[in-house]
Amino acid sequence: MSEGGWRSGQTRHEALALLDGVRDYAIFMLDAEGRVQSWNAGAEAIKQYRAAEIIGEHFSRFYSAEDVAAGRPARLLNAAATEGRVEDEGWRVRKDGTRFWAVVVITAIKDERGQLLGFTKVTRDLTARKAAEDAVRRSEESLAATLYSIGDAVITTDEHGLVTRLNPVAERLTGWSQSEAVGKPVDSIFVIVNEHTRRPALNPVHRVLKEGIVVGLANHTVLIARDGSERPIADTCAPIRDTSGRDLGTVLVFRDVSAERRAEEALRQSEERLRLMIASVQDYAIFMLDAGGRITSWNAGAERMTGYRAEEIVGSHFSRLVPPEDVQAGKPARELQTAVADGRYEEEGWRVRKDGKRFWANVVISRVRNDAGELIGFTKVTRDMTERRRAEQAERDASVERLRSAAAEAAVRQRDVFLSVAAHELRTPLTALLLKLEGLERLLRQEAFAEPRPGKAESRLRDALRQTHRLGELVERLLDVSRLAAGQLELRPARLELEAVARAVVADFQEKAKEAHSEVRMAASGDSSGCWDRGRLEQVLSNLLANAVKYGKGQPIDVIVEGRSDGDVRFAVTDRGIGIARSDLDRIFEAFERAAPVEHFSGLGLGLYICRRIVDAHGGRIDVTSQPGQGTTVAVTLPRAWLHASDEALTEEARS
Amino acid sequence: MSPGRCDKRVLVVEDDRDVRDSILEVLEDNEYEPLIASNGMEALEKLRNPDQRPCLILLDVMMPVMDGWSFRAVQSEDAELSSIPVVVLTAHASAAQTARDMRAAGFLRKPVELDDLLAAVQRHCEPR
Repeated sequence: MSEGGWRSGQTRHEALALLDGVRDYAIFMLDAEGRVQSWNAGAEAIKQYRAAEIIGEHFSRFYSAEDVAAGRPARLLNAAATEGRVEDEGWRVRKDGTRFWAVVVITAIKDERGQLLGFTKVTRDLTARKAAEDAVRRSEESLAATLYSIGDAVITTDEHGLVTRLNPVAERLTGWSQSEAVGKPVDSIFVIVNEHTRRPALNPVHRVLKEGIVVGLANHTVLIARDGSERPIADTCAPIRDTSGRDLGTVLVFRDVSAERRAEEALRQSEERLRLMIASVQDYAIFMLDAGGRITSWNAGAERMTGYRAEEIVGSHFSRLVPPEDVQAGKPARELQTAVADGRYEEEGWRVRKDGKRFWANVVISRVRNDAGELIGFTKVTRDMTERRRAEQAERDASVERLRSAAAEAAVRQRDVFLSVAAHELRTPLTALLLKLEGLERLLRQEAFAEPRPGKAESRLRDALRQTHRLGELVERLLDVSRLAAGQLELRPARLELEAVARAVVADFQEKAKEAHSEVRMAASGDSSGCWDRGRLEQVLSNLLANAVKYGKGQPIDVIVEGRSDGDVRFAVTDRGIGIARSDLDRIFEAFERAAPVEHFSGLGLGLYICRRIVDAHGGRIDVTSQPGQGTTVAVTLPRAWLHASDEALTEEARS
Repeated sequence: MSPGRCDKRVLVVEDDRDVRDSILEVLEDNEYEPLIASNGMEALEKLRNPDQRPCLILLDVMMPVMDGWSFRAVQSEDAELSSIPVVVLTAHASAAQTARDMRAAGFLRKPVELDDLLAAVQRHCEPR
């Protein structure tokens, strides 16, 4: 409703009737003092009073008590009276006491003389709009607060790319204050170049304005501040649109990534170093498997060790490196299971190269899990131990060789001892023989000039012959040893009574025993018949008796022969001499060994060795029991038939 | 005991009977008076008789019961016996060294030549 309406010649009533139909506006008239003069439907709808109730009432009842107390209604009327018109916005009160946000226009009505007649008052209820505006304002305030408190730098521009806002972080990073920057083209505030090329980088604001999309800044962008300082930044730029989708400008959010970049660079360098290191490791095959065991990485060591290049093997299951028999036995799967369960699997075993050759490897498989604890794969470190294994083998061989050569040296030493003992042994009868023969020669020469003494010469010749036999026997024993050493021992078995053999040998020894002030006692029981080599058994008995006499001087010596019901025949020689220490018992049957020091007891040290070999050859057993200082018993057990020869053959043998 | 008072007595200490007998025969053939012992212990027993002191001891080295070394040790400790000269009988290649080590008057290497044996004995004794 305008003043013009009044001048159009319409009657006041017509106008009022028209106004009465208007429901969105409360339109009513006040008299000069402010009392309600008219009331339309809109007024009733907004303020809830019916016309009858309100006409004549002062309009101040539409104001809150505070406004009334503050004199607001009167001030508005005065202003309208003075200015002709006043606009106001504010809270008004409905009949039911609730408030509404009113936009009010009060217009003074004056006559031609300027005399105030009253006022028209037009009121709109803008509560809803007010609420919306408040919401917008609050949102804007909160947005501003957010922008100002945000940790990232924020620059907003209008739709032309002129700066509208900078938050404090943006001020700090650009060196521009908001007040200086606002209204300036964003390119003069936000200056960026490519870190490497140093060329100006495209300002994302332009792209956003042009394309209406969210744009991220390319990597390696450096912001040059107003003072020329540079810092790497990361940013995004997004369009600002109103609710209808109209572009209002852009918001550019960016941050200083110097620290991040340093950390990233350090990490990248560290990772790169690690990668290079792993890649360049030659002595270890270091590679990764996915959770299923397929190879996902491959280093130089792996290539060198297996012969596969990365492109040949990556993607294959690692069982390609495992011998087929192990694959068939399910070993690769078990290895991974162990690594999953225990975190680690280690073994040494054979692996297969590309060319099919095998190498001995030390393998460690370690489980790899992500931060969430999920299995993402395995690392596998393999070391080729073939050389080391070979070296260890060589070392073992060498030590075996050393032992062998030590044994050989010991054998040489033993032989030297034997030779010196043998020489001594041979010289003794030679001494006797030589003296005998030289004496005999002298005797014969003397006898040529004096009276002959044939008896004396005869006895000396007999002695000389005996010495010669003794020498012959010694040589025979030496030959025995060399034959035994060569593993040859010929036996000529025949049926015989061991007791008879023993008695004969004992009889031969009585004289020698007597010289040593010993007596040899013989006892026999049971059937002592069997099939053996007579000469060899005599040799055994002689040796045992010779030892008994040698080491058991002055004490009786017992020889027993017993035929046992279990099929064996046993004989034993017991002396009561110096005995043999326990530590010596094992070696006395070896060649050239003797328990007693060589200086004190002559002999070749071959007796027991020869005995054992003879008894072994008969399938028998020789045992020695001894107490140092108490004496020694050497017992021989012989099976009656030491071989399964036919009776015919034995008879033949016995006849021969 | 001085060589002048020494007669023709020679003590043969040797464990091998054949060797002992052979030496005995040679000495007897050449008018010496041999005494025999089969080891050092027996030799010491023989020496205990002052009327039977020999002018020379022929001593084998390796013997049971008491060897030549032990005999020499005892002999040289005994004032009455220490002056009796000893000739060592040995089959060892290093007979000269052995004789020096045993502080013997001489040595005879086995097998012994009859002339060498008589020469050694003559050097210390006078035949009958």
